[in-house]
Amino acid sequence: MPRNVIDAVQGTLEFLVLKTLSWGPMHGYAIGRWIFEVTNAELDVEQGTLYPALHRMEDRGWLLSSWQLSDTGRRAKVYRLSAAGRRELAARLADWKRMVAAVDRLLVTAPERG
Amino acid sequence: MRSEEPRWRRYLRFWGRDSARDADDELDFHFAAHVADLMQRGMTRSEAESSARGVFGDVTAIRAELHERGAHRDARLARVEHLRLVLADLRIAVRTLARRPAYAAAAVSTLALGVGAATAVFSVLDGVLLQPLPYPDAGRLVVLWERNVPRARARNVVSVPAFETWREQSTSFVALAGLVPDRITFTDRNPERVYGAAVSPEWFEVVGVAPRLGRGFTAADAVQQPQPIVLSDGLFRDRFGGDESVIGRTVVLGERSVRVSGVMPAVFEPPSFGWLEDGQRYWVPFVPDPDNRQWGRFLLVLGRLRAGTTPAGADAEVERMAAGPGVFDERDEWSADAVGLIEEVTGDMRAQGLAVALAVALLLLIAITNVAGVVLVRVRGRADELRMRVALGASRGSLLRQLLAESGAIALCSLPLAVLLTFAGVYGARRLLPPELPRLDEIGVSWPAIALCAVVLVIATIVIGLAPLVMRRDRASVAVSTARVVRGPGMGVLPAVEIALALTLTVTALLATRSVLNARAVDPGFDAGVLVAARLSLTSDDASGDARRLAASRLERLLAAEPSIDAAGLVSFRPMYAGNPATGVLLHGSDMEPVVSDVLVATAAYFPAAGIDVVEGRTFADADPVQVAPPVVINRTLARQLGVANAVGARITVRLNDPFVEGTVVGVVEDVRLSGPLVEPRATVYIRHADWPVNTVDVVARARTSKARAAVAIRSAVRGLDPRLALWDEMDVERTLHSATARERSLAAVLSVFSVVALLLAAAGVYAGAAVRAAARRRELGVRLALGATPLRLGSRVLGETALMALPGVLAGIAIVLAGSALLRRVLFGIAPTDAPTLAAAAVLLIVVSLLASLLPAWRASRTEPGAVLRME
Repeated sequence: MPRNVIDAVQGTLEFLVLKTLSWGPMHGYAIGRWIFEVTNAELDVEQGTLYPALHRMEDRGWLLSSWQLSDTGRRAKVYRLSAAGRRELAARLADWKRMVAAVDRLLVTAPERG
Repeated sequence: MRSEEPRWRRYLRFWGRDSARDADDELDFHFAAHVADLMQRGMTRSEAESSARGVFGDVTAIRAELHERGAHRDARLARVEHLRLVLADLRIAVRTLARRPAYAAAAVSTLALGVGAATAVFSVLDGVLLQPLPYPDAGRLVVLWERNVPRARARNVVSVPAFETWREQSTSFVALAGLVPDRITFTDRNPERVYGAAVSPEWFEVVGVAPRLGRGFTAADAVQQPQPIVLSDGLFRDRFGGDESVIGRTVVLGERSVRVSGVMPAVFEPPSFGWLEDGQRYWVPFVPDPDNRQWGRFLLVLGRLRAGTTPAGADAEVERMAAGPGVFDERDEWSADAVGLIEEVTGDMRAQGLAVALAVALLLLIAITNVAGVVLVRVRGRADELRMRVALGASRGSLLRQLLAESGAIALCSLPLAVLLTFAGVYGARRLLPPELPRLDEIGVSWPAIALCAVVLVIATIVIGLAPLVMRRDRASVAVSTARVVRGPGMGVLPAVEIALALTLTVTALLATRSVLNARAVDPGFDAGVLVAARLSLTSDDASGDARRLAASRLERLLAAEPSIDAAGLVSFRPMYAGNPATGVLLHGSDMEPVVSDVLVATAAYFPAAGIDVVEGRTFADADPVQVAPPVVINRTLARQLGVANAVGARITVRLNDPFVEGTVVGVVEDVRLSGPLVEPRATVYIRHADWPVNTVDVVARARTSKARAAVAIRSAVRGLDPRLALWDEMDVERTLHSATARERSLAAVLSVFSVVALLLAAAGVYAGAAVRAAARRRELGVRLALGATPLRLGSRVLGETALMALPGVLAGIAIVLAGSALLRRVLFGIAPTDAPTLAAAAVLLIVVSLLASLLPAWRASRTEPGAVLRME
C-alpha cells in the first residue's frame, strides 16, 4: 500500500471527517468514500481507523448519530455535525489556513545569494 | 450473525442501550456497502469481500476498541441518567417535605437528634477509650502485676525478686522497668513537694521517649553518686528557668544532691497508673539492692512487648513463670498478670463506656423507628397516589427510588443539624464531664465516629424508606403492597418497638440513678462534710523518732489553739488518699491465716477529729507510755475477721517491717471506707504515732465554721511549727469523696438525658400510631356510634388498644434489660439489674406515657360524627 499522506499530519482525520460531514449526514462508509473521491484518491483513509475516530468524536460531542434502515434493509449508523462540531470545524479551518499560509511563506522565501 | 446473538443481549436491548451490538451492526454495514460497491465495479463477491477486508485493517482489534469505548459510554450515560433521576426524585421529595413543615421538622430533628447524639457519644468514647496512648507503639506497653490467688486480689504491686526474674527470664519483652513513686520536698523560699519516680534505666526505652536535652541514665550511671536525674520540662523551667547549662552539673534539689542528666520533651506525659496517678516531674534511678529485695511488694512494673507478642501472650508467660520455680516462694499463693497499659488506664471505665454506647445505640434506634413510623403514616396517606402511579405503569424501581428519595431527603436535611449536635455534644462532654475521667482533654469529634454515623444514616435512610414495603404481608408486587400498607400491622409494631427501647433506657437510667443515690447514702465512716486535710513532713527525713514525736505533739497543740478548728489530729494517710501500706495481721501466737489489713499510724486526736466512732473499748491515750506491747486500735471488720469474741485486750501481731509490731487492742472503731463509697471497707489496724513516728503525715482538721478558714488555720499552725515546712495536697475531704463517684454520676446523668429523650420520642410514636389507627377506623367508629355506643366507650376502646399494644413493648423491654444484666451489674452499685421495683416503675411509667400519648386520638375518636362519616361513602 502506498504511503498515506494522512499519516503525516496528526489529527487530520478528524478534521477531514468534520469537513466531510459539513456537507450533510453520512454513514461511515460514505465518509470514507467521500474523502477518497474528493481528494482524487490522494487521501485514502485507512478504513479501520475511521470508526474509532468517529466514535471518539461522538463522545466529545462533535458528532450526533442516528440509526436508519438502508435500502438493503440493514441498520446504518448515520453521523451528522452537532453545533459543537461546527464550531470545532471552523476553529480548525482557521488554524489550518494560518498554518498553510505560514508554511507557504517559509517555502517561498529564497536564500539570498551573496 | 444475528442468529449467533446470545439471548441475554436481546433482553438487554429491550431494556436499554447495547453499544456492542450497535458497533457490530455498523461494521457489518460498512462491509456490506464496500462489497456491494466493489461488485458493482465488476469484482466477484469473494474477490470483493477479501479486498474489503484487506483495506480495512485489523477488524478484530478495531471491533474490540469500539466495544470497549461503547461500554464506557454506556456506563457513563447510565450514571448520568441515574443521577438525574435521583436528583429529580430528591427534588420532588424535598418539595413534598416543604409542603408539610411540621412533619418535616419532626422527622428531620428526630433523626438529627439520634444521629448527632450517637456521633458525639462515639467520638467521646473513641477519644477516651480507644485512641492509643501518646507513646510510640503504645499498644505494646503492658503493666505487670502480682495476683494473690487465695484472696482474689488482682493488681498487687510487685516484689523486686519477681521483677528481676521477669526481666532476666521472660521472652515477651524488649525491656521491663520497675517504678517506685518518689518525691522531693523543697524547703527553700518556695516550699513545695514535687512528685517523681525512681525508675529502672530501661524505663526510657520502655516508654519509647528519649530526653530532649542530655540523656537518660544507664545501668552504670544509676549506681554513681551523686545520682543522675532526668527532669520534666516543667520542673526544668520552674527550678532552673530553662537554663541548659545545668545539664551535667551537680545541683541540690530539696534534701539531696543530684547530677542533672537530661530533660524530657514538654509534650511528654508519663504513663500514670497504680499510685503514679499524680504525674511525675522527674526521674531518678531505681536499682535493686539486697535491702529492697527484702521489702516485699512495692514495685510498679511497665514493659514493652517484643514485636509480634500480644498482651495476652505476655500474660500467659508471666503466669506460667509464676507457676514454675524461681519467681515466688509461695507458688500456690501468688501468680501474675500482664495488662495492656491502655486497659490499665481506662480499666473500669470500659463497662461504663459500653453501657453508654449501647444506650445511645438504643436512642438512635428509637429515633429511626420514630421517623420510620412518621414516614409510614405519610406514605399511607398517599396510598391512593401510589396505587395510581402503579396503575399508570410506574416501575418497581421508580417507586422504590421515590420512597428512598423521601427518606433520603429527610436524612440529608438532618445532616447539618446532626453535625451541629455532634460538635455541641462533644463540647458539652469536655465541659460537663467530671475532670476525673482519664484523657478527657484528648477527645474531639473523631473520624471513625463520623464514618460510623454516616453508615448508620445510610442504613437509616434505607430502613425508613422501605418501612412501608416491609410492613406488607404480600410480597407479590408493590402494587399489592401499597394497597396493603394501609391495613397492615405496621402501625402497631413500630410504637411497640419504641416502647421496648424506651423502657430499656428508662430502666437503665433509673438503676444508674439509684446507684448514685446508694453511693451517696453510704456512710463512709467519718465526717467527710466538715473535714479539711493537708499533708506535710514533720521534720527532716533523717530526724530522730523523738524529734518527730515532739513535732507531732507541738503541731497538735498549735492546731488546738486555732479558733476556726474544732478538733485536729494526725494520721499517716487520710481517708481517700489511697497510699497506705497493707500487711497481714493475726492473733499473737496463733497459726491462723493472717488477715490482710490496711495499716494507719494515727494520734489519739485523729479519731474524734475525723468523727470515727468507737464501737468498743477506747482509742489511744497519748499518755500511754511507749511500751513493748503498744496499744493498737482495730476496725470492726478486722475484729470480725480475727474471729475473737472479745477483741479488746487481745494481743495481735502486725507483720509490718521487721520487727513485727506486737500490739494490745485497746479499742474497736467503726469501719472507714478508705477508697471511697463504692469500695467495701477493708480490715484496718491503727498504730499509735508515738510508737511508730512516721515523718510524713496528714493533718485532718474539723472546721468550726468554714472549711476555707480551717485550711488557713492549718497553714498558720504549720508555719508556727516551722516556717520552712511545705504543705501539700490540701484538700476538702468531702470533695474527694464526691469525686470518687464522678463516673457513676456522669453515667446516671447521661442515661437520664437519653431516657427522657427516649420517652418523648416513644410518646410521639405512640401518638402517631394511635392517631392513624383511629383515623383509619373513623367509619367503623361512626357506625358504632350510630348503633348506640357512647363516646366514652369508644374513647376508652382506643385507649385500651394502646395499652394492649404497649404491653408486648414493655415485656420486650424488660427482656432486653435482663439480657444486658451482666453488663449492667458491672456499672451498678448496691442494686441488681433485675430490681423488681425499678422494672415495675419503668413499666408503669411507659404504660402511663403511652396512654397519655393516645388521649388526644381517643378523644377525637369519641367525637366522631356518625352522620358525617357515613355521608363520606
